[in-house]
Amino acid sequence: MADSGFTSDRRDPIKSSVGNAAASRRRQHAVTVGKERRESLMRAKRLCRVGIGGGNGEFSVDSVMLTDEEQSILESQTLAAVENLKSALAFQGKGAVKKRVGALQELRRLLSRSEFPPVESAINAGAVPLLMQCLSFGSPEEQVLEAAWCLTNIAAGNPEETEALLPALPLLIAHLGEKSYPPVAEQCAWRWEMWLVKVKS
Amino acid sequence: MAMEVTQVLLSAQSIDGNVRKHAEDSLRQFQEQNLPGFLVSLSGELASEDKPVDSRKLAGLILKNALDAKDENRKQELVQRWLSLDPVAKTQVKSCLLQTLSSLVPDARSTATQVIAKVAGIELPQKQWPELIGSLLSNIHQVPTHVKQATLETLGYLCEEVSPQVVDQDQVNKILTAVVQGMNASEGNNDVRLAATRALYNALGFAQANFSNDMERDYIMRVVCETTVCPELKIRQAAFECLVSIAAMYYEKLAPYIQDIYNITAKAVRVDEEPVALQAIEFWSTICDEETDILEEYMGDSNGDSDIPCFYFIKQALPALIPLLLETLLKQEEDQDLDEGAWNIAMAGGTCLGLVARTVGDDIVPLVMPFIEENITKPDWRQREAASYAFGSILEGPSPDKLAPLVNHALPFMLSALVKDPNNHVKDTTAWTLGRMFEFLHSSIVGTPIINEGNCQQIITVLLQSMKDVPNVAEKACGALYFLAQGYEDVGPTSPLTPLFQEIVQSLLTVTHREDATESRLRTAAYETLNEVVRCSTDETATLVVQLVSVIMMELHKCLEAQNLSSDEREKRSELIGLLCGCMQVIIQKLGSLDSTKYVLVQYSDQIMRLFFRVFACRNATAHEEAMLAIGALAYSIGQEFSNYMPEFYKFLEMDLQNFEEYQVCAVTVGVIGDICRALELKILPYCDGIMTQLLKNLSSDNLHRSVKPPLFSCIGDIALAIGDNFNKYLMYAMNTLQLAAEMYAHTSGFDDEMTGVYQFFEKWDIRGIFCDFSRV
Repeated sequence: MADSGFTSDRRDPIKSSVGNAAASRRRQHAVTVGKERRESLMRAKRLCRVGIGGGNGEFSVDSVMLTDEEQSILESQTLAAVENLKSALAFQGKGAVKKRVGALQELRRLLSRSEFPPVESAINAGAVPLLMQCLSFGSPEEQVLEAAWCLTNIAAGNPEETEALLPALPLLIAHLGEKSYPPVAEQCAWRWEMWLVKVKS
Repeated sequence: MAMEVTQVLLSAQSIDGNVRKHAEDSLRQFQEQNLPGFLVSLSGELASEDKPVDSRKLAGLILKNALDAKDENRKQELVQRWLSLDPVAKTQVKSCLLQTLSSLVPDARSTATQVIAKVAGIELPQKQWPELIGSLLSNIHQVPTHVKQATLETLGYLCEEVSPQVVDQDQVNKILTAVVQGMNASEGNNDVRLAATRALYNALGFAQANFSNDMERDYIMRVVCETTVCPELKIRQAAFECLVSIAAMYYEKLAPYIQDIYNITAKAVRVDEEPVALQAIEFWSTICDEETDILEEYMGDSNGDSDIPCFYFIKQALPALIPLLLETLLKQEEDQDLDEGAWNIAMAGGTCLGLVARTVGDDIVPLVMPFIEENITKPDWRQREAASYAFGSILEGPSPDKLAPLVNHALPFMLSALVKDPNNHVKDTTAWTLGRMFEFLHSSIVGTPIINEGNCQQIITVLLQSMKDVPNVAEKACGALYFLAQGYEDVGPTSPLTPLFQEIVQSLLTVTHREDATESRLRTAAYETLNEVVRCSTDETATLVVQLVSVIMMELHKCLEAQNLSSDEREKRSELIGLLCGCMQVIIQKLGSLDSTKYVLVQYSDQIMRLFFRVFACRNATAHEEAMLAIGALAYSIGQEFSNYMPEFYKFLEMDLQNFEEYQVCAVTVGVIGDICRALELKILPYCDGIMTQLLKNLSSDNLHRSVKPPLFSCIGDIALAIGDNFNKYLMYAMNTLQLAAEMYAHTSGFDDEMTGVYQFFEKWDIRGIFCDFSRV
């Protein structure tokens, strides 16, 4: 409300000083550089974890660069892994947990491959709802750990892909706040330490 | 309950400081001890015809300030206080306010209109005061014009205070009917017409249904258009402001009226007084904004659909609109280049021309080029300046293919004019136009480069020479150099600027030392251009950037050493410190990105940090922010070495995290903590207790600006990444806060302003960061 007279906002003139916009642009650029460093750090840390897992004891260093053909194969494997996870979740017989953990580990490994993991393929194949199912309360801790890890790798994808994770967020947070957290963290720390041991040997 | 307050109100306006203070204390005491009585007394004072106008006005002003505040938290406090007030007191206050609308004293009426709107803004959303609008509307039919005028004014303010969904359509219909009737030429009183026209401006947001009804829309538009030719200047201006608002709100309804509106606006631009002409131009600028948004939505959406169709009014009007706008360019004012706040017909016309170019693209070029060619060499400076201004205005929008040949042809002439034209206005605009050429046509993606091996040296020479001209011309020349350097940003390992780098830097530093460098924002432009030259430079000039470190550090040192400054000089010094810190940030970032020069930063880091600590002691927000960004860049570059500075730097981090008032500094500081986490990793651990405590406090605080909240979450993630398992001790506290935020998000049914802060927390980048960090612990 104008206390003195009636005024309207005035438009920015087209012919203006370079100083104003330049300073804002420079500061924004400094912030952007910081964010880029953050993202590249997380990608690097995620790649370090390739090979960790109870299933396959072998430690291997995968090539970071993939050809188009290899990327296509990776995406097909991801599709198959998601289907496998779906089957494992439907399975109720003996060894169900082991089957699920195995399927989760396979998916997690695929999502850790290369600088550009096949996150989009996984999301399109319906991985997120399946992973949310694995986070249900009362689920075995190893299953929760692997599912959370997969979600972590999906979260490290492109910004557009991250949006698919929104429905899973409250469940993940609620779960990590539960009493079951320390064992999960403990397992995570243990696995990290095991990996370090492997590297030294 | 009411108390006599006339004398104390008059005393509160006394020339005698003691009398005034005593009166103010009495009022404050009254307010604190008996709020209902206080408010009733004030409203009684405002309503009493036998009281002095000065005490009535002040009573109204104090009433208004008891209901409204700029600070959002304070305002909510006042709102709650009013809502919980004794209903009898509220009724008395409101009754007095309505009564005052009939006052014969204009100032009392005017004050009452504003206070009524404030009360309405509080009560109507709560379904209280349902009879208000009915009461106001019944006033419209009274004979005394002063009551009608005051009532219309109240309706306008009310529409400004209250959102459309609070008022039902039947009441909206009645308000609009009353307002539009008040605007009608048959209404003989100009005060009534003016109040009505201004009220319509505010009421347009309520008129969605009415603008969808053909007959009602026709009626409103006819009255608005007729009001644009009213003999009274203020009424015409207000009518055009309504047209501008209609263009923004009801673009898709304008087709039947656009021809009439063109005729009205063209006449206003050509023959009416400036305030009216400016609004007429603003109408077309607004249409450009609307059409640009619609067309961008077309291109952004893969389906090619948009909610609103584009009617291409600008393209249709082009043959008539362009000559009109070009005419305005010849109405320059002598001092407009030197007045930062200047706004006149020529400036508005050129700005609108630029928007038209963005909207229609190539089609504008053949309509503007004849004007440029005809006027660029005329003896009258106004014609030369207008030609150059027109050229600069159409460089964004048309395709490079269309523009490059014209620019290549004009470039030699422009360079010559920049140093040889006898008029400073012409040189100013010529330099600006050159900058626009470089901004939009000089980059690695443009097929036909306008700057090549043949002319690069000459261009640089001319610009450096122009930087010795008067401040406003030199400032534009810096801008041109800024965009020239920016165009080489992605040039690869070798740049044509490399052989010229030293000369360019030296010239820019010389500009910053001019006696008149603080005029026309010249010093700011010179430093920002220097920053861009450094940022876009190639590795070839890295050794020269290393030398620049010493130069800038010396400048900063001298600046910090300056003593015995007047308050004006102190302000200029603070600005300079900010510029120098910004320069340091760019240099550090450049040197830090190269393995061959990183070592230099380790060598200089002691001196650099000492200077920055002294900058912090100056207590200037902008300089502080710039220094923080530079420190973030330095921490990243020197990595673990940065731990040497943490004991002292931590004090400033803590202080900044608690700085809610200057929340932008707080936000930058939060970002810098992330940089430091990445640099130090586990070495940040000794400081984490203090940092985490403050971060969590900030997250739960209502006093901290909400835009800072998302970076706080990211910062917690950065800490978790850096210290790994050690994060256990903070996890439960962080989880509680995160849980609350997640629940708030889950309960948000729609996206609205109140939820913006929380929603930002879930923006893609932050989601990814939080998932990664917390899942990994």
